[in-house]
Amino acid sequence: MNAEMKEVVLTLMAGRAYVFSLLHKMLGAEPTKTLMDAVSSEESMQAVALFESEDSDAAKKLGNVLLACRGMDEERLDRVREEYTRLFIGPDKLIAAPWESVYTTKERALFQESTLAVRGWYQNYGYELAQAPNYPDDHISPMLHFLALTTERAAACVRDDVLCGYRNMLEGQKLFEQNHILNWVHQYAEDMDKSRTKLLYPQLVRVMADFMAYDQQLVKELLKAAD
Amino acid sequence: MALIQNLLDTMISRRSFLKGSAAAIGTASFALSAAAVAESNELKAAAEETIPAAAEPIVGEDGGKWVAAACPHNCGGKCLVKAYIKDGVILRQKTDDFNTDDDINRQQRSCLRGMSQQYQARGLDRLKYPMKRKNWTPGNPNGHLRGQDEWERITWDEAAQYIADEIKRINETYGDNAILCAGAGTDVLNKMNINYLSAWKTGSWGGWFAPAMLGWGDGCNYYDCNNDRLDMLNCEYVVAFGYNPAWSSLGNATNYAKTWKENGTKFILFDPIYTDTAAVLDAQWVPIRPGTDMAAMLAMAYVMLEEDKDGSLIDWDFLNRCCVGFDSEHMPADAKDAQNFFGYVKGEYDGTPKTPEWASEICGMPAETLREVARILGKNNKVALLSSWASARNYNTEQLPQLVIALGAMGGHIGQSGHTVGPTAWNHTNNFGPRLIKAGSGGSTGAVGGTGSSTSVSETQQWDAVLGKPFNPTTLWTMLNGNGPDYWKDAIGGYDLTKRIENITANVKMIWNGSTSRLTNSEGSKKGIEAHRAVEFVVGQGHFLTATNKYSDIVLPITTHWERDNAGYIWEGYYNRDILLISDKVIEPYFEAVSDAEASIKIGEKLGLTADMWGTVPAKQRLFNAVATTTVIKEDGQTWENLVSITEEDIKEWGVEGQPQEGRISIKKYMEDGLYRVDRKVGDNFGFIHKKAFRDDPEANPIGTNSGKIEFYCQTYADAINSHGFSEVEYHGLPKYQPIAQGYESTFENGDIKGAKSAYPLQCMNPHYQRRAHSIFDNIPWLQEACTNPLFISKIDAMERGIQDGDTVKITSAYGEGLRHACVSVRMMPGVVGLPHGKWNRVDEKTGIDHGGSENYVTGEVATGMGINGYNSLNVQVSKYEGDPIPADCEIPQTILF
Repeated sequence: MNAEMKEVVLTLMAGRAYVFSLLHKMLGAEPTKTLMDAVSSEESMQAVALFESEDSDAAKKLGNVLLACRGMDEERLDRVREEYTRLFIGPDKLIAAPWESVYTTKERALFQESTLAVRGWYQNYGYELAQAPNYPDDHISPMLHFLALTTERAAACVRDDVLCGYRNMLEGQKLFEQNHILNWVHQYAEDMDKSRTKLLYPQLVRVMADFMAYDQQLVKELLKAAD
Repeated sequence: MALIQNLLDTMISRRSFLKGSAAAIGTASFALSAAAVAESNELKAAAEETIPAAAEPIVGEDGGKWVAAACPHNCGGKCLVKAYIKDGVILRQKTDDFNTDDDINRQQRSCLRGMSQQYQARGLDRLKYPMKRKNWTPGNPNGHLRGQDEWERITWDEAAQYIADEIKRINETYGDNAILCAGAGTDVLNKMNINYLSAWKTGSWGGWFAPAMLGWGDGCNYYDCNNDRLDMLNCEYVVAFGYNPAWSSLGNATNYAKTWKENGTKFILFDPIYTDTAAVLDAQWVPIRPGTDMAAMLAMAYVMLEEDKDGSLIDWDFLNRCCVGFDSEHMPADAKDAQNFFGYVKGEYDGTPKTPEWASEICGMPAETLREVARILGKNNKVALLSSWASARNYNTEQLPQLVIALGAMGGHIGQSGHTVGPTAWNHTNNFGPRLIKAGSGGSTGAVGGTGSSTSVSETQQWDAVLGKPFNPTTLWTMLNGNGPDYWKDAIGGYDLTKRIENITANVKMIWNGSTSRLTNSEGSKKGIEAHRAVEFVVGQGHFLTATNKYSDIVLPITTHWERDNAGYIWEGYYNRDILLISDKVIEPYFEAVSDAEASIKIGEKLGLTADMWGTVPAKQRLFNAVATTTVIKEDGQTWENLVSITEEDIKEWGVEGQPQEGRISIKKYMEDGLYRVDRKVGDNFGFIHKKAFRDDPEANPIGTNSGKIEFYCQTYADAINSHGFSEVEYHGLPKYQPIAQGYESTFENGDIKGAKSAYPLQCMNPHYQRRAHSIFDNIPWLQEACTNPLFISKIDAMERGIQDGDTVKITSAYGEGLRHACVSVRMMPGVVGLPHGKWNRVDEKTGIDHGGSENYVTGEVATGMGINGYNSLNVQVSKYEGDPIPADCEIPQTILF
């Protein structure tokens, strides 16, 4: 990889890590002013804008959703928090589930085979869920954290010129996305569309699903860059 | 390469994103890093970072193990469940596949509900965190928003603090009886010496709630009120009322009856429904309207009296020696008047002979059928006369048990092989006799402090009580149920039976539903919801946002039994006699759920209750103690031995204190198997003839009644009802027929069965339903698909109303309205509809109609007689619903209907 390519690749990897981390946080915690300001900051806009291309409007749409988080007043933030609670926590039945197992078993159950498979992925790379065993591993948020962490490691490989490590990591990410994210997140987005309110999260899940689909193309391109 | 090419071309403008050093990749330098995420959704380093080759991990089945998991539910069955656990995940379940299985000794196979247990324990919709209603704050409850508010997540510390503060404030401001509490939470209030309001119910038992005075049962249960199941192979007939183990007591109960049938026993089943049980047993179905069983029984007694010729039907010897109150020569000393049973049946006191024709008009079956069955009840046939509790889950059927026993006594079917008379229900259905295996004791918990007390209110008045109306505070009935068979004789002296107890009022400001399904299982839940909205604070705890929990201000997430360190047997006394199930913890707690006991400790901490008050003996030690002291009967049927043998190694492995011991099987095997079964064979020493000693020598072996004999005339029972009950109608010592509240007669204007029908012309009963154990499992998807919970309605009644199978219908009573799909069936007796028990409500706030079809949303608080919860007594109208059809239960998006 020549120096210019390296810089582009590192930029893209930084961008991916940033977006994964952003989505990990947005889908993994109640919204706070700090988070809303951070995801709609200039850095966030720049990171997302990196991925604008003719092949996909995923990045553009993600950018729009994030922009809508800018300048949220207390009252709106409160309602957004209500929407998060209703869609991610409960206490009533959830109309959409941020866990893979619900979509792979159709029994509205957590802690199933997919949980073990995803746990296996984390373990193979040296990670574990911080609050295992009381929480399922196959929540979309830690999965995105996994992608963020492994992106950073892959980038480190590039910096250190360990291209086989870089390639392995990207292949791993591609496979993980196919087997444990893209197999359910579009259905998840469909279910989110049934939400009574559409302040942030139904749109966010939709653009996340589209971005993850686009990421498959990105990874292909990034792999080619190491040829 | 489009994107990369683009970026190469425009590299300079994108460079700004990196903000300097190419090494500083990641988010540490950005504002994003300041935003926190829930720790439960974070990954952390676990091992050396590696970059393996890309590969999907194989989740095989090796590396896991089968763990005994016992189904913990109160369903009438009780079976073995095993879970295959790998890395804390349940990969599959199974049931008993290792015991032998034949006509006599059967595997304890789990039902569809036990097989769904992992979907309860690992359900998506479990309560995960403590939560609080957005619009509730102390001092500003906005109670009207309960059940239709938004929620926010709070910490356990916050939840415990809110609850503790409210308990203190409410107790200090309002004093006694300001908190209505059931289940978990009573332990906290007891330790705080706070007097709270406690609702009691006749619940499952109905009129069988107070057996001690009638000399049947152990004061609470009826395990040994019939001959054992192998002796019952000798029964030529089973005549039974409200008997449907195929729906109500899953497990082996129906199998045992099937063995009798295959051996030649004929079944005659009185029921408003031609049940699955009747179908399996090829029974003669005698249709009977709910709440009219006593009329049928009286008519059969009439026929026996009329047709008896020198003892051709009636066992005079048994009556003369063992019974009182049946005729003028055998009156009990405490009888208030000279009326006797035969005189009443013949119509000598009220001018109405209790003929089959008289009963037929009330009950709905042909008079000739009653004659035929009466002859079968004669002494020369070997008869089992059985009654489930269902026929007594009707108002004003307090004396039905008394009448069952009397009718059976007339035929002499007590105390001899091949003959038996008694109730058959719950875990001991069809499998009677003293236990062959006895659960051991966990020993002391080490708990200290706090005695506490409560004021009683009947569930037939609890909502009225919360709303400030007067209620009957009697404790007489709970004294009679739950203590030994002879306890009542001394204790009754503490009650004045000569005058009506006075009502009191309470100022209830808080409701604590400690893992209880009050708004599903108590009558009058429409008023119950109103009551929940009237108070200042409501706490709910449990596994899901149930029909009850959703009307709370704070809900607490609670673990299932599978997630707990068990401190002993679950429901240890309530298994069928042949088996004992054991299990330990199966899986880790779900999210932030804790056990009820742990929740109480957290709340107690905020109230100044110290750890030692709750007990210091670890759960593991208590479980070990219970298993170690479990005993099993030896082949001689007289002596006992330890069930388990224990070695020093076992003790070390358990990490407990104990002594090695000899036993029948190793403790390891018992814990792995999850079940021990005592095998039986015809002619073994485990047989049991109920009341044999009494029959042989009643003077030497009196039963627990006042007179020591079977009381056709039971004065104390009547006195108790008249003084500590709820009726205007006076009860007599004889089991006389009365039209029950919300029964058949009240479907007519002015109660005249020859006249016009009233606005509520149908009777509605609540069969137990295979989808649920009471209200548990209602929300499990595949159970919802398999059992759709319709309203069962006869073809005639449906046709009259233009209702087709599958139509959405509205059930209307004087108390509420509900919706279900109609299941039109010729198996329903005309005039009777069936609305299954235990369904969660789902109220449309705009119309007040319950789209969930909860049976108790349409029942009402009717306080009569001794306070029987008359779930099967309700008058309704059914009509095709004019609004939109309701979806199938498996398709409803949320529990709360917005």
